[in-house]
Amino acid sequence: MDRSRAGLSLEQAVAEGLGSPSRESPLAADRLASAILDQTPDTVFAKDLVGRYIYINRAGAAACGLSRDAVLGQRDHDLFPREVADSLVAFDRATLAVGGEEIYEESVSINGAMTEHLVTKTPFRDSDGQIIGLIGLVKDITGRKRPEGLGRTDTDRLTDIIELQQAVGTAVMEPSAFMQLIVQRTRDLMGANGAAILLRDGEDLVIRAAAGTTVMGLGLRVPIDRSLVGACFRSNQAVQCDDVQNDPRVRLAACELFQVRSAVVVPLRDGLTTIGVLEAIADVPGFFGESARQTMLLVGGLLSAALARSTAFEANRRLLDERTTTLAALFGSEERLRSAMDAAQIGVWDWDVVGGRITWLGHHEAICGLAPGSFDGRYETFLACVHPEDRPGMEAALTSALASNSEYSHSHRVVWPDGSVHWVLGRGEFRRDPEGHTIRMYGAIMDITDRRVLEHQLLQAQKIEAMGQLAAGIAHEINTPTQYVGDNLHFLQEAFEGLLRVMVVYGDVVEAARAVGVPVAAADAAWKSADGGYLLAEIPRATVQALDGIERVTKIVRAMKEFSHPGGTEAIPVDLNHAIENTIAVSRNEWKYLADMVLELSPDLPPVPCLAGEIQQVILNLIVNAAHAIGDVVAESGGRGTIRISTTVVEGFVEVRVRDSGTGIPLEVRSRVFDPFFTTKDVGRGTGQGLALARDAIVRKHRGSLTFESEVGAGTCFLIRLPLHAPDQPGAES
Amino acid sequence: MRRILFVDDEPCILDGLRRLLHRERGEWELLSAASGSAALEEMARGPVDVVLTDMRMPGMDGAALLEQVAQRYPDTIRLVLSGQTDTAAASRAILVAHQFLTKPCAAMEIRTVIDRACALRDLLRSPGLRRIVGGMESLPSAPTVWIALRRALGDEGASVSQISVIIEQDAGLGAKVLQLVNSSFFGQAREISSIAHATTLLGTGTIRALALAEQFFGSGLSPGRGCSLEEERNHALAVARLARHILPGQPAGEAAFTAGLLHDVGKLILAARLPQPFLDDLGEARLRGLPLHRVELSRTNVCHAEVGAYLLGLWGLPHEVVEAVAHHHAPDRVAGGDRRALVAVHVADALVHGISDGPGAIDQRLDSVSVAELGWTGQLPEWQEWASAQQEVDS
Repeated sequence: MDRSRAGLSLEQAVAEGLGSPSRESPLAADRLASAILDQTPDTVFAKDLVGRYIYINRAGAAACGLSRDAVLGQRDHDLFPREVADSLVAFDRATLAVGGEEIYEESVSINGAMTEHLVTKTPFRDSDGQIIGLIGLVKDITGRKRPEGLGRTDTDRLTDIIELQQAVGTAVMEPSAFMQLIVQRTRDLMGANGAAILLRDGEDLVIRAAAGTTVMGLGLRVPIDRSLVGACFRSNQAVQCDDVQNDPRVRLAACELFQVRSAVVVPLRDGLTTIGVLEAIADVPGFFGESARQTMLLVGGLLSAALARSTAFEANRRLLDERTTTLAALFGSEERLRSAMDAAQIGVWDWDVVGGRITWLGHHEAICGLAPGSFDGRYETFLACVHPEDRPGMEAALTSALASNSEYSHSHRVVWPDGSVHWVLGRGEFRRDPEGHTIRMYGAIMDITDRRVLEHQLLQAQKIEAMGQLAAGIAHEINTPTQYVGDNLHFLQEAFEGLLRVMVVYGDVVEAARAVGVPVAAADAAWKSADGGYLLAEIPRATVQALDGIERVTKIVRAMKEFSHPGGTEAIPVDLNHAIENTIAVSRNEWKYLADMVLELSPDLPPVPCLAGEIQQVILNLIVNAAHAIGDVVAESGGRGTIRISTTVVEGFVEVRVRDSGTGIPLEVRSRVFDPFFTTKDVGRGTGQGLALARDAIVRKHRGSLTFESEVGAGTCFLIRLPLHAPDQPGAES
Repeated sequence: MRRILFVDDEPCILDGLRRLLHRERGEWELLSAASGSAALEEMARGPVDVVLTDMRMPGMDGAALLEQVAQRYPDTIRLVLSGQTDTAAASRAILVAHQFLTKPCAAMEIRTVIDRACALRDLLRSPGLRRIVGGMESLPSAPTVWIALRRALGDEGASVSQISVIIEQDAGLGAKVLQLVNSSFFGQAREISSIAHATTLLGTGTIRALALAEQFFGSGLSPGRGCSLEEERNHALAVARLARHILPGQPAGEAAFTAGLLHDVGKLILAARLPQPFLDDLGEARLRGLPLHRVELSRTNVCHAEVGAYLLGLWGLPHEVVEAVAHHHAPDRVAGGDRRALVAVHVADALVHGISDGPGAIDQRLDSVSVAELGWTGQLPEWQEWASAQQEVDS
């Protein structure tokens, strides 16, 4: 099979995969966006590079007096009188040539009636910035004497909403980044002083994202039962406040601080549940009108839907869809296809099921770590690239797609010849002949390793946060009994000292009585039966030991709390020795049966500006790795190993060394120790992410370094170097 | 006999505390209540010197109880002993409590905190004044500083060091930050005297949250007549800087800076709460060319230094800072110990007054014996020159 035939079949595949333009347009890749656009009273449309309509909303079709299907796929010259079409196309060309927004007014005569329009045209681009078509917005301004600037503002708003939809559609769906995008755009869109997203947390709404004047409120909790945002949340409807000074629902103090005079708030929903609100504020009364409220509802709906489906896998799928769409737009020649695949870094396969041959195009070989042109077209060769653990899952996914005649979509690992592990996502479809026999499978593959790393980091962060909440709760539960156990032990200690003094006097009295012949047998018997001498010696020791125990409980609880709840996201001066001691305390169970812990902590270590939580995680990782390495040695030889942790100051840096007497790292894997997903541990014991994340934390977030020295059979020493002066804290204050 | 009231819904805690402090029975009368409302009933039966309450209780919680106590019995010292360990809880508690302790709290620490709080009462013997000062939740902060802080907090990129530079310029802001950091919630091994250090420990996130509760930083408090917050701030800042200059590069220098910044907070309290007597004293001091504290002392036997120190002591600020504020007019009243921070503030106050009110003011104020004891007499001209140069730079 030659390349051009493969290209041709791909063209068909992608074109069919996309469907005809009337089915679903690439612009409104999701139905929600489409539904929103259908709600706007103005015309919204999109054209591809050759001038065919690939999308038009309901109002647009109605304005043309045609059905949507009659418009889609047609050019202006197919639809309108020639002179109208000429002028429309001229503006299209201008827009594409300029590469930016073009706005003009036009008068159109339809059925003898003159209408006036304000038209905005904007090119739209793929994720690499290539123009692949244009979007138009037509607003009917007939008979409307526009107040200065109003028409322009409204147009801007709608254009912005469309842009926002695009941005949301193509964004990597990490909820926080994306909420930030939304609030920023909301603020711009509304011309507001500030905007915020508040999500429910217990009895409160918490500001999770903010832009403008509300930024200083990030993380602030607002009670649901008495606040304007709470009123919106409770009623599940848009709420507007024209002047906070005459509105009993608002909290005036907070308004003053944020300089709020008017506000509009809309609910955010996940299915039927209200999960939070989106708010825009202004520092003058009556700033928001009815159109502002409508706009907010649109954005709120968009955000709700996007939040609901913001799983990472979904994001991957959408990205691949989008790139395939880009391909369609660029289709025309095999060369352009190839350059498009290069740009998108995807690989494409065409599997001739009957002939048993697979053709790879684009980056497919590179994604599997093979040299260009070296793929022999055999399924077995591809299967050999797949990570052995992932082969059954991938084959099951293929079989199931084939059996159910549905789309294949599966992510798995591939192992390159150099041993490095990469994550890929493949999507494809089977084609059948008229008799229903499967004849081909077409599909695309992309490398998603970076995303998997991000996902893992996100997951890790969520785990730590969950653990922090748990630890705070446990600490609270333990601290109360610890308080009164400690108080009572102190009391017993002091009380016994008092009792002892009394006993001494009583003893003297008994002896004096004995001397004068008063019978004291009862006293002697009681003393003997209670073993009085033993009690006098042991009670003080018992209380001291119990107090020591309660002290240790206190320390462990405190260490656990500090370890799991180490504070914010900015670097603050941290007592690194203390952080190391906390980490050792919480990880004791990992190493105490295998190794002795030796600490050589510099007593005059200055505070180090760092993110305590991140550094503790790194040290925890290194301790756990050290314990595992020692465990491998101890399992064979018996006995115990040693973990040695030291801190020193060296010329503007603090150095932390974690040294183990473990197996050492074999020479051949040393270069890959910090690679994501690389692990020598058994399944279930390590994710292969620990050191990759550790390096990221030290190098990227702290501008330090993480290196190691290792000798097989003798052990490994990891060295963390952290700068003493963070970039934003140049030296000590003068 | 001091009357100490413990409030907790866990009876074991009450019993434990009662037993723990049994040995104090000669000096302390221990009362207990299992709920907020029971505590208020107890207080209605007789005066209580110190209340130590849990935060989370069914019905009226600790914060609500202390709000009531602050209104009805402002001179009662309000302490919290809580098992909650998050910053938000500590910040909420510190709005109504003078100090915040966390469970488990060592036996020694509970004793020390109650002891110190009680000892403060010797500083301010007038119950009337104690009521006035004990009711202060915060100190008025200078509007220009408050605006600068708000602006900086609104800027997402602002670093914690930028914010600490702002907080260091105002007594009201600085005192509150130190109060929070020195609550046992932060588990600091030693007391923190440096405002910059305290701000860094809190981080911008916490400061931002604090700034939202406007009563925390006293942004809305009126300074009262006859007292210009900006003038007070300039004077306090000049004294603070000179005090640090006197003890360069030493931990005592940070304490001296803080004490210098806070040395006249008593004036802010008096101007806000007893405006007429304060205005009268101020007028008389100007008329007769006397330092204000002389006039105050001749009239009521108490001056603004003790008033300010009492509040800072209630808030649990480090002892060296409280002491330096209390005795900044008369360092000789403190015998023994490390007096460097105290004398540095005293000298700086006298020299800065010398610049604004004329050289005669120095003679009226300076305790030359204390200065000579530290061997500082020869350096006075250099310090005076440094302070003058600083003021010229500022203006």
